[in-house]
Amino acid sequence: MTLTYLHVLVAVGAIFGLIGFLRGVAREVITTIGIIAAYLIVGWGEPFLIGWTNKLFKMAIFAARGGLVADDPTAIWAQVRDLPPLIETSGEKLIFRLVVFAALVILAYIVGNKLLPTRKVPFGPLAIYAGPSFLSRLLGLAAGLMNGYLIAYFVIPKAFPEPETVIKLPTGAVVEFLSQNLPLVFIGLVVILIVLGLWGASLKK
Amino acid sequence: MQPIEVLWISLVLIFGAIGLVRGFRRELGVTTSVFVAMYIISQWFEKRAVMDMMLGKAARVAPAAFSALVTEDPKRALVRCAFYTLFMAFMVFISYHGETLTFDGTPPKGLAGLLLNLMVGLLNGYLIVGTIWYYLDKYNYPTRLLGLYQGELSPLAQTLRSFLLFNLIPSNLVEPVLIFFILFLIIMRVIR
Repeated sequence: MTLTYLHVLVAVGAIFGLIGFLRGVAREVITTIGIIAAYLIVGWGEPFLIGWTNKLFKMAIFAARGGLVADDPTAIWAQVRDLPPLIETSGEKLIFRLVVFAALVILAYIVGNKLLPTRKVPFGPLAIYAGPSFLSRLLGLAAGLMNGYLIAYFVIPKAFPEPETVIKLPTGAVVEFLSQNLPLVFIGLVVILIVLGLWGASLKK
Repeated sequence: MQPIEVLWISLVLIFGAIGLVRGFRRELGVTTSVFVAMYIISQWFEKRAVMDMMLGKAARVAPAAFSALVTEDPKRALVRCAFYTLFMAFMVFISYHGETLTFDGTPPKGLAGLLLNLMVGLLNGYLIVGTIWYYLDKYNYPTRLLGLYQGELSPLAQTLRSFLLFNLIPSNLVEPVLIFFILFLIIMRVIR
């Protein structure tokens, strides 16, 4: 199966644009903040997170082997201490990075929904949030596209570092496209932020 | 001395806190004047070499004791960066001081309002401090003459540097992007 980079980008755009349209711009902006936070956490906090994950892994093994209730915990700890860390190789680190990023992005979507709760109404085969107006949905569509872009910008170069994968995904072209258009995402996010703010500000004094 | 990225992040966070207190309507006024300042610095002082012309004029009239400041690098670069920093500070002061650029309306209450305040404040910090960092970097950190810079940039600083607005946007697009933002903000201000 051969995909062109256009297919990949259209698919990503369609999915995240639709999500943005369904959720409205306010929730999408909260998600954008979460995605940026995920970038920072994964980018800067990786050594810290991996260190603690490895420590907690050994602590869990220690507990599972009965170290907490053993008469001589040091004997069990001596066995556990020599175990290899859970995350050590570059492949394991890559998976860890992607999992943490995915978890944080999902959390950002959930937080957006929780902070701005509203009932859902049918929208064809889907259920959409009743609150946002059509303008909010259109802005949400744009913000959703940018969120998809930011996620793809993080995931694709890491998950598909080679020019061709099993499904012959032309990641080189996609990565190049994503890199070239990052300024447009910045501009779009700033414009949405301004429009959202002014649109949300009542003119009543 | 802390690395430059720590200083940069701290200053951006301080601007975020200022945004929280002042509200995004006022902060958007600051954003407008910051984009104007960035346009003047990047397109006039730099691209159209107005700063070089000013330094050339200064070199003719400066007393001998001060001529090195406007003729010899890195002192000349230090003067240039100091001028840009002061100019940016002046533009920010104008917008902080008055109400003219404040956008009309009552800000949304609750979390949405707080988030907007914070984000516009952070955006202003990113633009203001990012511009100053960009020119310090472009002129090879002339602040080292004052003992305010040392060593190489850390990997984190190099990553952050690549996300500064003038590094993010291709050089041929800087002018249209800045003009777009200035016009967009003015139009939004007027139609409110």
